[in-house]
Amino acid sequence: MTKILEWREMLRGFYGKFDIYIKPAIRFAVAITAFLLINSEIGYMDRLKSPAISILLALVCTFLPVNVTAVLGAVLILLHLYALSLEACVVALLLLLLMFFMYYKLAPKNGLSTVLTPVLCHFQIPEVMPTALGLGKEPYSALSMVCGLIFYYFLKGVQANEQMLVTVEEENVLGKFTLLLQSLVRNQELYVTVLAFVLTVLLIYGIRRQSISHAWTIAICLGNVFNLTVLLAGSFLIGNTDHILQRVLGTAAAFAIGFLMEFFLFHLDYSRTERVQFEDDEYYYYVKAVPKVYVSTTEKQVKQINKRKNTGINKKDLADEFDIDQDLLDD
Amino acid sequence: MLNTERIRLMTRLAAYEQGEGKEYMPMSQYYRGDYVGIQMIKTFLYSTIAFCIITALSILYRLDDLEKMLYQMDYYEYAKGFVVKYILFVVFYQVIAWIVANLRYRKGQKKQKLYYSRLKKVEKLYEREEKMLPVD
Repeated sequence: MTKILEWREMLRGFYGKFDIYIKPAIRFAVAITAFLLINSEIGYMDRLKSPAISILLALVCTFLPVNVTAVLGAVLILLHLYALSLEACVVALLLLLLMFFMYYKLAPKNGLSTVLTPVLCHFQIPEVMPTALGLGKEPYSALSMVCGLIFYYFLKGVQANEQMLVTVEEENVLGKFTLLLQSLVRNQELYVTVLAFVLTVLLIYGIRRQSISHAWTIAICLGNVFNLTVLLAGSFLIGNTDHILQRVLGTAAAFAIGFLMEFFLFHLDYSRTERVQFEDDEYYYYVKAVPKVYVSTTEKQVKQINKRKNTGINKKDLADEFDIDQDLLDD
Repeated sequence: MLNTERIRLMTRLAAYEQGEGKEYMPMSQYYRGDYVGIQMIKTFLYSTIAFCIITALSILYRLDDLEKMLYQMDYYEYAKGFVVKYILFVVFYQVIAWIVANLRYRKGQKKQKLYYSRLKKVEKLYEREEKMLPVD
């Protein structure tokens, strides 16, 4: 256990030191995964399909807020759908606008979960999302996940009806809209998934906020068991039992991610490093403030100090320990 | 000489100003009623636009047999249903907006209070420092 805690401390130090690079790297990874997936799944416009464009767009997203990734992803999807059929593009645009006005105008902070949900759906582990949101976010963030789910199932519907959508017969034009929207309105799997996931987010959030011991562990376990139960019951009810194994595996992944989040986030929010700058009459201050870690007695057994004693303290170690520049110790 | 306590306070202040303060600071210019009102008006606009989009989508969904519908439809009943649905939709959103705006305002007020108390402390520290400065 001590070894794991040591690792955690090391990771914390690493994150605190390099967060200026880690955060953009994560943004880049999310963006490039999303864009490449869009291109490989619905890449109907050949000009946009080249990986160079995806990389370029992802680089742009690296330096901008994460909501930009969501917007660029949406534009990419619209362009691809436009190349397939105008009807698909129109319906997608209306759906996006609807999500924008119903949700993002009011709670604009959860773009990342909307982008991640379809990505996780693609990798067959969407069950991770409700666990992550329940543990790390506010309950209303469940709506951003619902937006992601709706859009994923819509795109799946487009893929399934690809052949019908490319026909250019006059009579079929009206039918295309119906066909596209039917893939949502009559998709019972979507209803089951949305219901299970939203309830799970609320359940996990509700339990983890209780002042009981092991609240997080109980929340993760109960939440995921509940999620799996609702998903399986729903699957049997609608008579679609093809994905049972995936649901189980997805839930296992959700357990893993849940415990990982508990390990890193519970009590100790490592992502709260602040970089601020301000001035007074005499100085400019460029301050990096890392939240303190509440180390319990067992955790204090991390034995790095002994090692230093053996080797003697040098300036580099001292500077590392105080997280300051080595040059400051020169005087 | 750097005053570490003052820097600590100023860091907190700057972190607030550059982070969540961006949301809460403009809020403190309004009375609670005004802030909630503005949010509700905004929400009214957004929910109206959203309802229009939903209507457009539902028309597209039934586009296939629209012609048949237009002949057989009872327009009065349809309009009545439409208005009732619109009102329910908007009212639902207004209630949510009212709750969210009130909660946000309360949270914002608390944060602003803390912000000002820290600001005051910094001011006091400055005053103390000035007093301690050697007279030239």
